[in-house]
Formats: sequence, structure tokens, C-alpha cells
Amino acid sequence: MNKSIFNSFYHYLIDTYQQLQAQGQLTPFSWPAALLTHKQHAFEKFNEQGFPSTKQEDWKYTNLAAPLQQIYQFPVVSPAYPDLKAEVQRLTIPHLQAYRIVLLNGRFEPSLSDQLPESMGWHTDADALHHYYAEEYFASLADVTQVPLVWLNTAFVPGFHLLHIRETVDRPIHVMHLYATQQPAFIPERLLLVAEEGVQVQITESFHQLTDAPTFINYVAEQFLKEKVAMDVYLINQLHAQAAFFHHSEIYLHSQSTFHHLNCCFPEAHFIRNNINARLQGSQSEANLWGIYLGNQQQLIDNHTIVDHQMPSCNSNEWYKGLLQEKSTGVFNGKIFVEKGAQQTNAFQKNNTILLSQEATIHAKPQLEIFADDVKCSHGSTVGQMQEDALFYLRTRGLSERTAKQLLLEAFAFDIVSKAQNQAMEDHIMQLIRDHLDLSAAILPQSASPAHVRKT
Amino acid sequence: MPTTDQDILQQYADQDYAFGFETRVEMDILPPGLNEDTVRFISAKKEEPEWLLQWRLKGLEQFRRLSKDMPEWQNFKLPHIDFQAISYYAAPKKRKLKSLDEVDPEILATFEKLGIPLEEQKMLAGVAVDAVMDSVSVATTFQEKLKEKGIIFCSMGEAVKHYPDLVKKYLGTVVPYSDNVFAALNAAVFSDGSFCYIPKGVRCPMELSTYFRINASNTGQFERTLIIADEGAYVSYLEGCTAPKRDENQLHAAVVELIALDHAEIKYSTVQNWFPGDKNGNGGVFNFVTKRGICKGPHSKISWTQVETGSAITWKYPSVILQGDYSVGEFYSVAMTRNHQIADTGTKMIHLGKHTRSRIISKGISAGYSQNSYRGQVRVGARADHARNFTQCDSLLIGDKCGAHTFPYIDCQNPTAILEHEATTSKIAEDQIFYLNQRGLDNEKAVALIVNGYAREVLNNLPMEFAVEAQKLLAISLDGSVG
Repeated sequence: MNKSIFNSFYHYLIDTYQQLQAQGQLTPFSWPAALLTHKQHAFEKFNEQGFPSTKQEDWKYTNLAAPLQQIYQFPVVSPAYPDLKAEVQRLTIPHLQAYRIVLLNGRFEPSLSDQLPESMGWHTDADALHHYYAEEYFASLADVTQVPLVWLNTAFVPGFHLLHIRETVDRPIHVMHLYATQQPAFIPERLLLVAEEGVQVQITESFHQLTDAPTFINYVAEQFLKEKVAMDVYLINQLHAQAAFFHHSEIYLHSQSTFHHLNCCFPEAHFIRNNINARLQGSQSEANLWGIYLGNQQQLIDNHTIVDHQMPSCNSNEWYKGLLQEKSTGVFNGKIFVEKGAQQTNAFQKNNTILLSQEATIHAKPQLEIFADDVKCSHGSTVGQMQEDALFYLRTRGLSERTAKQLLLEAFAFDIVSKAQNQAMEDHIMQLIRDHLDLSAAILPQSASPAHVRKT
Repeated sequence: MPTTDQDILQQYADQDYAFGFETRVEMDILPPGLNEDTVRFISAKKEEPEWLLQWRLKGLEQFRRLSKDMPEWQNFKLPHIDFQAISYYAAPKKRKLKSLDEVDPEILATFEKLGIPLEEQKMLAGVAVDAVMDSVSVATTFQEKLKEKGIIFCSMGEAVKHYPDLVKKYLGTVVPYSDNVFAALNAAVFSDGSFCYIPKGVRCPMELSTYFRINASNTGQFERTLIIADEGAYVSYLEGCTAPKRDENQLHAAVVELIALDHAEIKYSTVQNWFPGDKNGNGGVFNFVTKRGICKGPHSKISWTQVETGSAITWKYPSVILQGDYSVGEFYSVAMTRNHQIADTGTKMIHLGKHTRSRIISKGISAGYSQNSYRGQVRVGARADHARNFTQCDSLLIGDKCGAHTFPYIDCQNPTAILEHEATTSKIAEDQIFYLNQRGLDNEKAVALIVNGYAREVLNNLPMEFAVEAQKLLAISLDGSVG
């Protein structure tokens, strides 16, 4: 019994790869042999495995078949988009004052990006491929997780970007992913990030679409944190309804490193799948994964996370909250592994979801796998709605129904949003939540009618 | 306290199986193997009607289809089971008995060793025992008393003969033969089991109980239990298992179906202590059971309570389908694993009716090299307005070689539902032990006290007679093992 999808898009991909390989045009620049081996291996694996289907546990509620009905093509050249400068200006986060790095369809746009300081190295194309870290880390973090869509990325990505944080960066970094295509496009994109010992850095990655063509984005990020690194990452997904978005982040943390990750999924990409895996590979390291997802229309927002405690004395906290409107579906799967020998582990996980419409659905699977005994682990998960008592209380204080609802829902989101370590980011995320909440449609809790008296 | 911990684990690991003995009773055994003839033989031997034979054959067909592709989603590697090497029918030779005096004294002695002498049961607890010794009911007590109330409590074999309409109406409606590979196998070859029908408005005056024992070597047990509580009826049913020591793996693939109609309530309690294998993980019973109940009518209630201490592999999810409005499902479980035992157990609560409520309390204790998993699903359908669930699953780890895992699935399609899930994993805190040491309790007693307290919420839900046995079992498992 085959549990995978081998559709026409799959065949298109396989044929394209083989054709390009035959023509010796697999990559626009020459790849070092060692990296090419990864590419070839990944292609073979993808060729064999195909796209995952709902028969596979990790994709049980996330049906790739729908977004993959479309045949996406590789974007040939970046289209001339009328005024990119204005778009970049429009999408700049107020008051963040970040170094902006702009990517268009996965390609670096130096003319739109800011001048970067000495403390960080940004390498692209051939420059990245021949960097001394490329051979050491490329494909060694993400590909070992055996995820078919990561293999797809490794096999088809033309090159990758390498962000090397040498020293503490004085301002946040904002990586702006812009997508503008005329035809249905498949865009593989890849980032390799290495943070040297003791550095502190804040990175915001935002995703925007400038055109309406169906786009299948496959973004893999490998992040390697050396000792005593403090890194904050913000992911802000604001893609259009025509976008299908797959993202896989593999984060390795070494001793005494701290990692904050705030994952925000907003309308209206019809398909979002995030894999966020934090591997605590050094003792006394800490990973914090926060997430807020706000769905509308027929969105599917799927967040799969792994916190893997491999060494003793590490901490992790995870909290994902969801607001699901209209016909949206949320999937949350949080895994905590505590491996043998990872004693003195504290690992906590929480997931709360509010369903705001009759047709919204949530599938939550908070999962613990523990192989050490001196641990404190817990997880909690709730599904519910706004509290009627709380609403009533606010109404009696003279608030309109609309204001009361807004207050409650924003307070719900605030738990996550307030985790932002940067005021500008906090304000920005809160504003996006406000923009996307449809308060008039948010249904009110109906009081449960009294239970019938038992017949005697 | 490393030295004590070490001692504890050592003693714990060396603990012998206290109920390991074998009763010698003449058996009527079918040679190993599974095919259409086996099914026909069993059906003929039990003088079954044609429809049941056809149903069994469908089960066999389904089993052949499903067994080609054995499940892989569970959190352990399913050992290879040679279904052709199992003998599918074993029955003690003496069968029709009217009084206890006619029961084979050896069997009576077995029960005596287990601490449940049949004779005493009559006077003592008012418990009617349908004792199943390798597949066929040996003795049934209290029949008359139950008959007065119109309650039917007999072996499945008798039920098929005397109440075919009832059996035909309900058999396989909750667990169809196509449900899973082991349910299909059970449908094809089920040997016997218990049947219970509580008529309208009757409150069963005593706890009904069956003691299962795997006895003859190489015979898997394929019990099938069907309990129907008609409108407004109430019944509490006890199931307990102990098995003699043996080196070979034995398969136990039972099916239990519960049906609660309007305002009916069924309480089903299990104490399971099959042979868990020796300290190296050799032998032991595979306990692959399908248990499911349906709250068919409004205001009905089904409650599962289980204490699982035995079996090499325990793999079961007693579930409730909450179909009737205002119906209630409950699941209370203590699963204890040690040595190389594996448990992958939990429940499913399927909310379909409005205002349905469910509650899940699961307590796992793992020690030695064992792996203990909770796997549960709470599903709320689009029409199940105001469904309510509370789930708590805690794990306790004793030693650093064992594992505790939690796989809860929460699927909600209704915005008025309120679902809560919480889980914790920890070891016994040293300050708790220290506190009890101060009060003059030694380590062993302190741990026993803490573990008993930890499992209390579940044990409290067992009927009185069973709670004693369950505590005994936990004590046997813990005795001299933790300190």
C-alpha cells in the first residue's frame, strides 16, 4: 500500500530535474561536489517518497493534494514589478528600524536592501555555496529529519542564502520575502544561519505576495546557534489566498543559548504548514516557541513543532494560541522529546484555541515522549469560546458588545503577542490581529440550556 | 539515594509473577491453524445458527484482508504473530453443571488461589460469577436471583441458543467485524464470553463479574462480551484477569461491546494482570482488546475503569460513542508497566449528541525498561453543541531507563464545545519522600503511599471488592520494588 501522492505536479518536478541534469543545467551556478551530493541524494529520496498524503501520521489533517492540484512552474526570471521600492516602504515595520534584506521570489535584491554592518555576513549564490560554513552545515540539519518536502527543497533550490552573525548586531534584521509571479509558480527557498558564540540578534522574517498568481512556496531554514547565543526570531505570514506555504525550520542550540521564536500566521494563504524543530544540543540551553494563528475563509493553518531535549538541564516553553474564523481549520501538533540522559529537564507546552464560527475546526495533538525520569514536563490544551460571564461583566461596565468582544479576543492574543522582546514588533503584531479579526461575525457563546432532570 | 534506588530496581526487576501456576484440566483442543474449517468447526461445536456462521466467515474474510497489512501507527513494534500456530478452540471437557459441587475441584482450587472462592462469593459479596476457564463458562451462579429481576446473565454460547433475537440485534453493532484486524479475528473465532441484558428500568442488584484465565498452552483467548442496558437500567460489571506463568507469548484478542439505551447506565471495571513476561522481557501475554460502548439513548452513561498491571503488551482503547443527547462517558485508568512491559492504552470519546460530557483520567506508572503510552482521542462532531470534555493524563517515571509518552488527539468541529486537556510527567519528588521519612515511614512505604495516592482518583471508581484486588495488585507490583 502506497501512502504517498504521485500526481502530475510530482511528475513535472521529476521530469524537469532529469532534463536539467541531462543538459547540465541543474543549477545556475556550479555547486561544490560535496553539496551536489546532498542535492542528488535529496532528489532520489523525493523521487522515491513523493508528496506525503493524509495516510501519514504527520499529515493526517493536512491534505497536500488540494494545493498540489495546480501545476506550478519554476519562475523563469523575476518579473518587472512596477514599483518595488514603494512596496518595500509600505511593508517596512514601523519603528523597528531594522536592517532590511529583501528577497524577491527567493532571490536577493541588493538594490532594495539596506547596507549591512560588519557584524553580519550575508552571502548569496556562489558566494554562499563556497563559504566555509556551507559544506559544514548545509543539509546536515534539516535533511536528516526525513521530511519529503525538505528533500524537495534541497533537490530544487538553485542556491541558498547564508546569514552569518559574527558579532552582536546593533539593530534588528528584517528579512522581507516578496513574491511576484505572473504564472503559477513553485518557489524553493533556503536559508542557512550560523550565529557565533555569544552573539545577540533579532530577526524578523515576513512573507508577502504582490501578485495574485497561485504560488507554492517551499522555504527551509537551517539555524545553528553556537554557545551563549541569544536569538529572537519572528515569523509573520501575510500571504494571499492563492499561496500555499510550506516552511521548515531546524534549529540547533548549543550550551547556554537562548532561542525565542514567535510564529504568527495571518490570513489569507489557503495552505500553511510550518515545521519548527528546536533541538537542545547543549546543556543549559533554552528554547521558547510562541505562536499565534488567526484564520479566516477556508484557510488551513498547520503548525508542527518539536522540542527535542538531548542534554541535561535545559528548559523549554511552548505556547500556541489560535483564533479560527469562518471556514478555517487549525492543526497544532506539538512534540516534546526528552531523550535518555536529558535529566533536570523542564518542558512545558500549551495550546489554546477559540473557534469563532460554526464551520471552523481544530485538530490539536500535544504530544510528550519522555525517556528520562528527573524531568518536569506538562502540556495543556483547550478548545473553547469567549466566556459569557466575562462578556457580561464588560457589558455591565458600559462597553458595547463589539468593544467587549474585541477586548476579550485581544487579551487572549496578548498572552502570546506580549512575548515579543521588542516593542515595535509587539505593536505591529497586535495591529495585524486587530486588522484581521472580524468582530461582527465572531459568534457569541450561547448559554448551555439546563441539563434535563433525570427520569426516575 | 542512589543505592536505595538501585536496590529498589533490582528487587523490582526480580519480582516473580505471584499468580503463576497452572491448572490441569482435560482439554478439548483444536489443532493449531486458522482457515474456514476452523471457523466452521467452532460454530458447529457451539451449535450456532446459520446467520452467526455467516457473520463469522465475513469476519474471517475481513481478517485475511486486514492481516496483510498489520498496523504500524502504535508506539511499539508489533511482534510477528503466527496466526496459524495458534489453536483456536479449547474447552474444559465437563460442561453442563448445575451446582458448584460438580465443578472440577482443580478449577475451584485455582480460583481459591486467586482469592475468589466461588462458594464464598455467594454468601460474601453478593457477586454472581460467570467463571470463564479457557473459553467456556464453567459455572454460573446466582442465575435464579437474577432471573427474578428479568436480568439475563449467561455465556455468549447460551445467549445465542436462548436469546438469538437479542444477540442478532446487537452483536457487532458497536464493534463491527471490520473494525480492526484483531476485532475481525475475534469475530471469526470467538469462543465464548459473557452476555448480559438488563431489562427496562431494572437496577441490577449485584455486581456482575467474570474471571478470565488463559489456561491451556497455545490457546489464544477470544472472548466476546456483549452488555445491553435497556431504558433506565443500571449495571456494574467486573472483569478481572490473571494468567499462569508461561514462556510463550499468548495472544488475547477480546471484544467488549456495551450498549446503553435511554437513561441507562453501564459501569465496566477491569483489573488486568496477565503474565507480563520475565524480567528479560521473554514471554508474556499480548493483550490486544477492542472495547467500545455506545450511549445510544439520551441521558445514558458509560463508565470504563481499568487497572492494568500485567501483559507483555497492553494495547487497548476502551471508548465511548456519545450518540444520545446529554449522555456521559467516563474513562479512569491506571496502567503500570515494569521490566520490559509495553502499554499503549487510552480512550476515545466521540461526541455526537448535544450536551454530551466526557471525562478522562489516566495515570501511567512506568519502571524498569518499560514503555508506557497514553493515546486518546476526543472528537466533537459539528452537531454536538455544548459538548464538554476534561482530560487529565499523568505519568510517573521510576528509574531512568523507562519511557512515558502521551499522544492525545483533540478534534473539534463545534464552536460551543469546551475541551480541556492537561498532562504532566514527573518522578516522585525527593521532598515528598523526605517528608514521609520524617513522619517515620521508610522509603518503601513512602513510595507505596505516594503511588497509591497518585492512583487514588482511579481506584476510587472501582467497586469495593475490586478496589481491594486492585490495591493488592499495585502493592504486588510495588512491594519491595521502590523505596
